[in-house]
Amino acid sequence: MNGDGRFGEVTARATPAGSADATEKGVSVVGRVRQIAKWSDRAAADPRHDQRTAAILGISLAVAFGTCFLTGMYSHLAQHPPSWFTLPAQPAGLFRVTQGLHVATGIASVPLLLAKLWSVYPQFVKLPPVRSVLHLVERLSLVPLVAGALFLLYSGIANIDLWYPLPVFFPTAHYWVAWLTIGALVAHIGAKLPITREVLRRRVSAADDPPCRANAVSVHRPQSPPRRRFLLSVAGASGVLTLLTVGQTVVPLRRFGLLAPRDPDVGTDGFPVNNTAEEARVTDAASNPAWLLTVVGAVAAPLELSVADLQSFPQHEAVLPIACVEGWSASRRWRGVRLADVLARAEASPGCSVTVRSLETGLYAQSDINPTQAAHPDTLLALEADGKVLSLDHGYPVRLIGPNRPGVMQTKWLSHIEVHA
Amino acid sequence: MTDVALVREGRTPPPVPLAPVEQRYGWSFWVGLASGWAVMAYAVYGMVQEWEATNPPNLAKVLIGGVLLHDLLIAPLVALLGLLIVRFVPVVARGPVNLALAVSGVVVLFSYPLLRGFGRHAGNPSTLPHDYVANVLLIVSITWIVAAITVSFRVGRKRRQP
Repeated sequence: MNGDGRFGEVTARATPAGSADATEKGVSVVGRVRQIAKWSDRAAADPRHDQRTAAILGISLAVAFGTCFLTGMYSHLAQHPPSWFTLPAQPAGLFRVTQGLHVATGIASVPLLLAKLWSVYPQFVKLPPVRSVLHLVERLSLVPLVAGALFLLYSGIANIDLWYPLPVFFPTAHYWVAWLTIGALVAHIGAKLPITREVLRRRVSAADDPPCRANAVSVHRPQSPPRRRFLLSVAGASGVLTLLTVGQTVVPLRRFGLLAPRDPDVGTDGFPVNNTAEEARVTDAASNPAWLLTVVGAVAAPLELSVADLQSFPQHEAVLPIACVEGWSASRRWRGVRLADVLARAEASPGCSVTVRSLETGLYAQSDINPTQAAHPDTLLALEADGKVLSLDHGYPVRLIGPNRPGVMQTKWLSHIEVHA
Repeated sequence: MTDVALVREGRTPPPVPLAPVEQRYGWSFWVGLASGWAVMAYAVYGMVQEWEATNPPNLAKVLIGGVLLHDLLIAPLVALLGLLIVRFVPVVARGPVNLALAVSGVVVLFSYPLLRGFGRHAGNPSTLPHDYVANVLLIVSITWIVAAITVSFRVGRKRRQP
């Protein structure tokens, strides 16, 4: 702040002087800290660093992180259903939408979060760092907030890029850090609610965010105000990043997906897989002509079905997406046997639930199917995709495909169907 | 000096900011504190419960490491970059240069794992299917071309001013 109580054009006038001082010899550490604090005071007067900007970015981030939290929790429930939750079978594309939204919103949050941290950074170096016990408590909850927010975006982006640099197991760590972050966000919103309401209630006058005339083409046509330009730039960056990636699930935009880690039309047979048969080490077992699908458990007539047996069942078609938790999706026309028909042939009791097991071993070698989905006519043991026999990479000889299921639960290379009473 | 005179000189009249709203600790603070810290406690409980997967010591390192990396390295570097821009970039080009730098920075940061190709699996053509180096170069080039056009347009308009 200048002596006359007005604020200079902060970036243009105040900072070079500050940096010149800092390079002078003999400035003590205390002097430097004071200088930084003074710089932070002056920067805080810039509309791009003030409370209104922080409030607008804060609300945007709260909406974005809230969306990610809800869609993420839905994905968690879908994959680890507690007793009170039944994953519905309709709408068939629900998981595709929620998970696509989860990843797209996370990506759009990157510029928002960086802008917010940049905007409030002068507060970080403000003196004194703590003004009261309550202020200390308030600042303490910023540590999990910032740490969690950075972690969620960083780990999420690494994960969709199939990169696992972290010394933790991604899904579990991402899940619990989401709870940590949302808790810290609630505490932060509680602390900042009065300020946010107050600064947003105020009418923005020309004096608050004055038009910048330095670059204007004429005195009578000033440039738009710096805060508005800053916020529009942030929104633009978010939009561009979204446009460059969202084509991995929004098919009409796939040509713009320059930075998308997947393309719904690229892969074996023209659509993606997370694991090839080679990677899952099932090539020999899956191509063995003696392969049989066994139906066991709570059934009156256990079955052992060959590919020919499956082909002798009535064949049905369904257009369903593979919707990966990593945010890509690809819709295909599947053809195969209704799971319900196989269960009926095995004389399983109506309303049973099912576990399907794969030839592969490991984390995603099996998945559970609740009674609603097991009875659904579109839940198929698929033998074909888009009119062609499944390739090994897509789960030959038979894979599960059902409506509204996360991709990791569309188990490939089936070997067992276990029926639960 | 009046605002008009300042403008004639090509300088911006100083903004008169609104007085900052004082931080108050009312009911919303206490509600947020109680519920927020309860949720955080639940998160910590969950991390400890699933120790094998979350590996809390490692997780803590990554969490704190991220904050330190941002607050002590990235943010000061960005501030330094700002100082360099203020010193070396003419006022007329500052906005477009700032924006182009920010967009390029965010794009490169976001694309780092793609550029390095960590997740590309041999034998799985669907993993990282694009030429991301070329794509990032294209995006960054377009950004700077647009910035350059904006600046030259501004300079041209300014020259034509009486």
